[in-house]
Amino acid sequence: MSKIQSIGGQTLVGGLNRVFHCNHYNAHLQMSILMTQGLHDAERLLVEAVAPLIQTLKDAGYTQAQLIHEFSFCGFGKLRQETARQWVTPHSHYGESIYAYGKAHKTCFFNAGFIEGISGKYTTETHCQSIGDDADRFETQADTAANTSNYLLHDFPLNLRIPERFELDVGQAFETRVDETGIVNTVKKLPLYGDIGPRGTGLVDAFGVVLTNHFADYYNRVSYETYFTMKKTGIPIEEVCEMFIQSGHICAFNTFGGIIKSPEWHAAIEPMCDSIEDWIHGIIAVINALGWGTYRVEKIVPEKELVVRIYNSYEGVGYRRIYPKSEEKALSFLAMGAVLGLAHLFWKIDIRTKPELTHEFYIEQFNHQDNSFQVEQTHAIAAGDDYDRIVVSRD
Amino acid sequence: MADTAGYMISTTRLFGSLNHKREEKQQPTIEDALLASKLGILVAVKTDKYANFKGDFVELDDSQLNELPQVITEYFNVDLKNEISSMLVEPGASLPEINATQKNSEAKPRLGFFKRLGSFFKRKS
Repeated sequence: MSKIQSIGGQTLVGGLNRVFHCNHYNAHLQMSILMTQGLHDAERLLVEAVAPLIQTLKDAGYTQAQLIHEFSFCGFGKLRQETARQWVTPHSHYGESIYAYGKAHKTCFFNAGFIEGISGKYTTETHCQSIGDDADRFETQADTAANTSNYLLHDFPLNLRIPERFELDVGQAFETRVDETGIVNTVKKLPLYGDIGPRGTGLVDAFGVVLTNHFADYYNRVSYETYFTMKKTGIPIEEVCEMFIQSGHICAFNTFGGIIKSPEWHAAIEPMCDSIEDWIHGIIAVINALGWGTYRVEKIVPEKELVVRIYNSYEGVGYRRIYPKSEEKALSFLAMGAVLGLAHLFWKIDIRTKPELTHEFYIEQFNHQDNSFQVEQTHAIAAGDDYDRIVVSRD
Repeated sequence: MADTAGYMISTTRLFGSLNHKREEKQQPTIEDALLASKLGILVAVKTDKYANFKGDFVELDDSQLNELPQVITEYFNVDLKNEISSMLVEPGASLPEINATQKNSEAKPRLGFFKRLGSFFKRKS
């Protein structure tokens, strides 16, 4: 596998940005994409957003063995070729860790796309753990080539002139004992990778969720293609945005909530925290180790407002690598959901009391309309700004 | 019947029934805001016409009404065909008051739903 590089808040492996995301985010994003089946071929989109990325890695020199290793290392499960045309994932993130509200159906589109990328052949899932099968099984079609056309069409360099923490041009003056550099270095050393050994599952159980170190470009491709399709259909833009933001909001509840409740947080970060603002700086430091870009807090008005800038946001940079500059600003859906979720974690439910993060608690407290904040994106890399800027506030 | 006919359905009753059925099948309930958002999109995907489920009542034409039970079955895994028929307010009929008794007749109406299904997404003007 290629060397892992950290540049400007992004984590590059084989030249492709990787971002940590949990099973809840992956489940809700996939459900959202699949809701649009019929408007476009959403199922194929979920497959064909992967294959070109694998082709890119092959072009960079990855062997089949290295790609299979990386499938496990990144938390997607265990992948094995059984015959010339048959593949299996006896354990997989998409087969056993995500969920759907609707009728049980096959869910391993990502795995199929990964195999398409490796084999170069059109691949379909024939069995899936999500419908009760013992393993996810896949079959390639010998006579049909996979679509591995690269969709990363534009060069877009990362911003290497990122202001230091608390040194924004119009930023608020903060004082804190929270050591961001120390936290980032500590998180990067955590064993957040799948067990690759013969008895390993290739899954990453951590912080009460199941993590993947996923392809940022995959998320961007499936989200924006679906977003454009829905807009064209005439679905109100607020509804479309909210659908995607909701996935980030759920991610914040489960992953940030899980991190804050973890023994690691208690041991390493909580001792640095004197005020609720320190807790925010602490979780922002953790976020800065996830590959999502570099988050910088611009403003905190307790109980009322949180403003965050994101340099090299994976959504903004990813957008510009796939599409021309946008006229719209509100395109960093994950970032909007995540920052909204931060405000809700601290000022709506007070995660410092470490409540049980159950589905019922999410519905009845965290996502309840009462005391909710609103979220707005005022600046966007996708639209030509130097950074994304997310404002979360309530009257 | 003309496609412009405006059938009305109480969203509180609809979501209450949907979650009641999910609870009976030991599936997690889904909050009203999320249901409203998803149903609006799903009906639009199937019919090319958006329906707003965020108010007290949703207005549906024939094609939307026809798709509604199907998308509920497909995406929320419960059969509400019979219940939806009984919830319908025919075109031209006056809307019933949704009183406390009716609201409580469905299992667990979601907290804080009524008249408060606002959006958390704020667009820059």
